[in-house]
Amino acid sequence: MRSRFYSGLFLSIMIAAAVALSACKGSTGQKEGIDDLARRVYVPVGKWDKYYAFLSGGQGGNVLVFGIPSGRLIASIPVFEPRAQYGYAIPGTPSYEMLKSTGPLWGDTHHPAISETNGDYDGRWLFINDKANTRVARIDLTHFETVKIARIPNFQSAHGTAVVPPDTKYLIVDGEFRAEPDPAKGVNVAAYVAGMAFLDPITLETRFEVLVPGNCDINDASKDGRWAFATNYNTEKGLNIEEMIRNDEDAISAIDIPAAEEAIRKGEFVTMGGTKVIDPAKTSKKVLYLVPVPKNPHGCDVSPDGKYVVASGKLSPTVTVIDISKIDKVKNLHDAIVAQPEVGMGPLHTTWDGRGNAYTSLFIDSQIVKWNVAKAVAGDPDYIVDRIDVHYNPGHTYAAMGRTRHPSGDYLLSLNKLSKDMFIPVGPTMPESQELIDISGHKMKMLLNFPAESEPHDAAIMRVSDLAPKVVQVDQPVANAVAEGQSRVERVGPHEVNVYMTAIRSRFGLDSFTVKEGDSVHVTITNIETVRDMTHGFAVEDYGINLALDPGQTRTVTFIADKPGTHWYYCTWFCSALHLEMRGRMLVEAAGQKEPQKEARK
Amino acid sequence: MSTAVSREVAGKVRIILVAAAVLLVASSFMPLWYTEMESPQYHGDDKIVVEVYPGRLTGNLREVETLNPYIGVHLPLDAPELRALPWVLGAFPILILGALFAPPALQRKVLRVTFVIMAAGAIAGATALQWRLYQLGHERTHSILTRVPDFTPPIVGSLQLKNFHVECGLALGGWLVALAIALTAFAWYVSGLESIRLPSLAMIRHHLHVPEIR
Repeated sequence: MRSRFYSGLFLSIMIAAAVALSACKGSTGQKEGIDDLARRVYVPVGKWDKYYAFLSGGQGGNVLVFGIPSGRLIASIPVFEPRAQYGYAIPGTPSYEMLKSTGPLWGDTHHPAISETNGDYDGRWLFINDKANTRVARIDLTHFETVKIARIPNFQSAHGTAVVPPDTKYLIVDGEFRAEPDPAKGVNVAAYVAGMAFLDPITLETRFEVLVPGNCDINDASKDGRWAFATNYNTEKGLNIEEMIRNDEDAISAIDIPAAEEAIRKGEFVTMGGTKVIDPAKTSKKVLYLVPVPKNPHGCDVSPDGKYVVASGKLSPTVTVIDISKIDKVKNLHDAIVAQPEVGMGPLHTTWDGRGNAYTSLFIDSQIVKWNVAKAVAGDPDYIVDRIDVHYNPGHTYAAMGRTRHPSGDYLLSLNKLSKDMFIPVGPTMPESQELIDISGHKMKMLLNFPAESEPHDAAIMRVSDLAPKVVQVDQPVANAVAEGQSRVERVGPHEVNVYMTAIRSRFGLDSFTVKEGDSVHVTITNIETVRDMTHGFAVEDYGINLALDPGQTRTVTFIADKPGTHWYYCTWFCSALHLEMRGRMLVEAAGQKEPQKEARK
Repeated sequence: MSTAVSREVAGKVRIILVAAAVLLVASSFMPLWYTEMESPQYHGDDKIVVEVYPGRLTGNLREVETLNPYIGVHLPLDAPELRALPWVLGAFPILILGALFAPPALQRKVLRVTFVIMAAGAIAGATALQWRLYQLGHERTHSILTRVPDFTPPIVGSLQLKNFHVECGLALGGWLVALAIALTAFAWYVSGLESIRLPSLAMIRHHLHVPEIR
């Protein structure tokens, strides 16, 4: 009995040991895999990432720039929100006037779009929308700086944002919410419109608009520049959620751009808000085609070969594949649909690898699904290639060079809406979760998860080797630059003073300047450094002023000297061993002050 | 004492002198001397390079001036010898032209004088440069950084100055001037020969034991 007990115990221990051993072996194998993945995203010190990933900053009103594959945050470009750090849109600066003149000092950025030449990213500009205040901005990619902001007339809420290939003839922006075009006259439900705006990519002036029934969501354009597409939900024109989802079908709006241009030429438009607006019901040539898709679609993406535009189903587990060449040829627009593969729950956006595969984010399933377009179109039931779990609830997904004619097919970013347990706790407001997936093989491989402040919606990923050579690092002095030795104070009126200063390690051109209380003061500073990365700041104590001056740059700030006394100004960008000493004094004589204080010197 | 240059070598002397003059004229458009300063934050594309051209300094002088106060040195941008440099280098080819067109009886003498003047000029230039480099590192005003000892950058060579590795040397124009002076000396030597025979192809073959191809 006893020996039986011991032999039983012995056997149990042996089995436990064997299990433990095999578990160890398993974990060793796993560890090798992790090393391998780590090597794929590791960028050695001094080396560069392969891609710039431009991520909209969402409620931050900015654009975030990450390096791919490292996932390192490289830059944050302020657009619709002031950022004193960069001297951006602080009161008294030209960038403040640019932002303030177009609306509130806050915006909600969603969809970055890189300008294109010959169907490929040319790295000139990055466009970004402001969903909250119906604006769009152009960022100059030589400086990674917002240079133009414009409001889109007649519409409410600028959502989908894309460029028209191959050469960025237009920037197309969806006016999403339905509202009266002229709100100054008061509420007018009967006049509600939504549609698509066609903007000049340089001036951001709206050249014309096309009204679309329902709400315009996400957009894209055909590779030949003929068509502009938008997913179109709420064709019911409902005002609450029940009304918005009542019908089984909504649409992809396909706008025939040459037909719209012809309508403008023929005068078939009305002028609203100073802009030419086309009502597609009133043109002699058909401008708008509504291709029916399952209700409340979301993503709208044109395949790199230019053959198809696909609508991701959102509420339908399908992606609707529309043959672009059939849109103006079929009698029944249902016949332009060549496939409607079922891909999973909550398909939101689709991107491409350039090898004939599509990648669709599945919001509800928390997955990215890879499917083969040709197989789906051919009716082959075996069109699903692979699925990978993401964490959690992906919105947009974007493959490297994804919206060009030549996606590079190596990396894919999943921009997830929730992060839950992914990162160390930082309170109830959680970081957003981005995941980098290797799509170079048959199976997708999860490489990296990196956080971002809230809340990136969409991305645009461009090759570093295509953009980096165009980025300026030291500016040439402009016409109004302050030259060395030209620092001075000029009283130009009884209450107006111009101050001109240079900045170079480790002093401002003026150790002090004197103004009178109530003076309007214009301070112009030129950073006369000639080496890169030698940025100087100019902060004035208790005046809410901070400028950032990159090498060669000239900036001006205007303010009222309403606080008497001594106010030290100093350099805010750590520049040199004498950075702390790089400062001076603004002496504001009080209104009633009879005699200026004599300098007490030792 | 010196005899007339023989007819046989006169043509060759002329070719050598013309070559020397051409090199000198070319050098006046080129940097004569350079210094490169490299440190952890100034390396690769950010390396600071200063070049001495006849009459001027080029390179990122602004950055050098910005950094100079740290060790209390001043670039001798207005040094008289720097301003004299184009005149001196301009005089050399004129001297050579003089030698070129000198009467055969005087040519050897003129050549010798030309060589001596040019060599003396080069030595004087190098001495002035070395003196300026010494001054740069020794006659310093109050420096921002403390405990930086005096130093002397070499004309050709390197120096570690705190975080900077400083490399100095002759630039292309400097080498051309040196070569022109050497050619002048060579012309003087050749002019003393009765005849000069450049080795023929057959002679080279013979010396290299290359069998003749038939």
